[in-house]
Amino acid sequence: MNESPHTVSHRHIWPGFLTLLAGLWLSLLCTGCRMPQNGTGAGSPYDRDSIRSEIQYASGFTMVRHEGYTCLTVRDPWDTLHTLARYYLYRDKNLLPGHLPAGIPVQIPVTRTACLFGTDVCMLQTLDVAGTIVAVAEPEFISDSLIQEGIRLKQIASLGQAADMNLEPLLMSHPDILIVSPFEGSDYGAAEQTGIPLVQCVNYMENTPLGRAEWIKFLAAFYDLSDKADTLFRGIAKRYQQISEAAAAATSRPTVFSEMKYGQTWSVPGGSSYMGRFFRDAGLDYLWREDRSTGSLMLSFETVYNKAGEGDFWVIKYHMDGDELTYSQLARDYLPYTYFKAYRERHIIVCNTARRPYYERGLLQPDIVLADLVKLVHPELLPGYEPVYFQMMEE
Amino acid sequence: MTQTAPDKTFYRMLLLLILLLPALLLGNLFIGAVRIPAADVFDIILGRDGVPEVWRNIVLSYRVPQAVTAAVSGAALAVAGLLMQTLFRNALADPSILGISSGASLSVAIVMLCFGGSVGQILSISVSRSMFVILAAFIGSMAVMAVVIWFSSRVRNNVMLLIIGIMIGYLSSSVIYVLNFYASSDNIRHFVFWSMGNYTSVVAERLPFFCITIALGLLGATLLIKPLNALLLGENYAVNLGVRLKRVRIAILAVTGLLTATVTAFCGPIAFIGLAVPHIARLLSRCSNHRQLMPLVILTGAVISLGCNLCTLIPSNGSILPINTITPIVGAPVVLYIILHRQHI
Repeated sequence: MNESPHTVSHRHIWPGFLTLLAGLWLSLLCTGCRMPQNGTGAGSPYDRDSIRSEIQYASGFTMVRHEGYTCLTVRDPWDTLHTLARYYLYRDKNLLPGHLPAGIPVQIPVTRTACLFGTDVCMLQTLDVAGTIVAVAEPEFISDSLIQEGIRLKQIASLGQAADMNLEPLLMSHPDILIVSPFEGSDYGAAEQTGIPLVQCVNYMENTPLGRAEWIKFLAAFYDLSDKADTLFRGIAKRYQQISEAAAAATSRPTVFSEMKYGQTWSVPGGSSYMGRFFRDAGLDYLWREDRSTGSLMLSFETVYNKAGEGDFWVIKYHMDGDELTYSQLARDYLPYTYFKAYRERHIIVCNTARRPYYERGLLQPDIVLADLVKLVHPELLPGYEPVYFQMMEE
Repeated sequence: MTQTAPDKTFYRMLLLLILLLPALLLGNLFIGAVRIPAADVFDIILGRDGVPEVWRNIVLSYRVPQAVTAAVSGAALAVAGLLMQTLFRNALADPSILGISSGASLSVAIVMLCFGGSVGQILSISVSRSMFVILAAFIGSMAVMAVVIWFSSRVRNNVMLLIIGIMIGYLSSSVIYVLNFYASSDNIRHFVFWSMGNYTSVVAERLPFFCITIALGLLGATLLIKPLNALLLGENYAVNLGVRLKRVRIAILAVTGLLTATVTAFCGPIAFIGLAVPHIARLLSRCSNHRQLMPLVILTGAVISLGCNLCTLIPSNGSILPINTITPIVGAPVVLYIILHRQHI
């Protein structure tokens, strides 16, 4: 069969084209690798051989170091094909190339920070840069005494509610950056018009405990503290792995379920969610492990009871200012709770988030949260350890 | 519409509803988020052995109280709606129009959003969180009702009362917004779920109290049938017929308050049933005499509420929709129909 000249030419062009592409890619790679070697001087954090910082667990951001600047890209967690924000962190503006893709240039190290949540304050504390905080929102939910003192002495501005922050104190405090945690479709309205770079920290959308904690590297980059964050995170990850390996070797693997019903609905963490991962790593058999969702399942009481009625452990996080949730209170609240085996055998693990900084600090201490769970489920594995966030429910 | 003697349509409707009620009650016991074979449900109901304990608990301790609560709440809200529509001679009046459910919401918001539902410890009395929410809702609705009744003895005009009720509603939602603004996300979530309505919170041991209170309210409403019929003709006619207007007004408000407060306290603010059911009953029976309307409204309220409760199972994957997402689907078309056909009480 005769092939048309057109077809023949295609067959000859393809290999050539692919070779050309491969060549281009290789040359780009080599240029990238060489760039740091021509860097600004020894000891600079930018003169490393690697161009892409190693982010092991977090999937929401990437950090690429170039000569004279670092490019931080935040993936849109709700539309992963898109970028939520891109930052060019530089120390010397002259070294910032003129033609970069759209992004926000930020001079580092940042010396004045505005942030909205207690978790941000905790991350900055861990990096020893909480002293740069000049404004916070919702100060009533920030337990840090230095911040409270700063607000009392009017050295730190209060921005009011995070969802509707007061722009005047924000502008008056002249922050270099404003750290925000956006929700899907949310915008920060007028705050975006102020010219203050918004640092979009969507760590809470990560589905693994270590993924969430790894965002410390993201924030650290703004303070030129990447090395410190790497060391810190390596420690957290190592301890987490050790505890999880020990838990995996445990002889028993008790079943677990969590939360309570609110109204008609019992919101159960999905099998691939953050809590689901904690349970797995703590040597527990999560009853919804087969489920693939990363969010929560809105189930009815009978669905949960049918599946978890004979579950070994029950983990409840609740928010109560006045008192702690007890077995007798749980029974008075809703008698059918007492039908659960975990209730009868007194195997309920609780964390009162009003009393313990689970949401503030727990995010950065997945190793401790995991150790708590392991200690309460497999006490023999961590002798002498005192749980920090979780405890067994009291009578 | 004119008052007529009961005709065939009425009896037909009554019979239909009397048949539908037990059918739907049973439907609520047999159908649930968990699939339990019908034979096993029968065994459970008849008290036979050999059925898993988990299923027995689901049917007897979860589905039975839920179905009874749904039926009783539906009847109570529907009657409360009928009373309000007749008193105000307004087709769009419902139990929430006087701000009674807003009062309950405000009170629950204070308990949940300010104290995380644990005021018990502060007042050093041992009451569970759920009981506190119920008490708060009850006190809130009763307080609003007291205010409305006080006003009713001072203002002559029912429209004024209506405006007062609506203003109370606005005031409490404004305070709720402020409380929401400063509350922690956990407490907000708790409050949001409460406001979505919930027929599962009346556990078996609270069921007698719930049913007796509602029964008293329904009895009160039945005793008001005569003056209600007189009010249909207009206040002046009613006075001429010997109705002591002020007294009757207070009695109607008190009965409505008791019914609405009890249901809202236990189940949260259930939307639309109070508004739509009296109209559905009128449309179906074509009568406006309360002697016939009252039993029809009670039965229709229970039937529709049970039907809505079954519809919450639509996702069929173990999850359930909040009851307040279903009731407007039934209620809103009825309201639209009324507006389009300009139906009068």
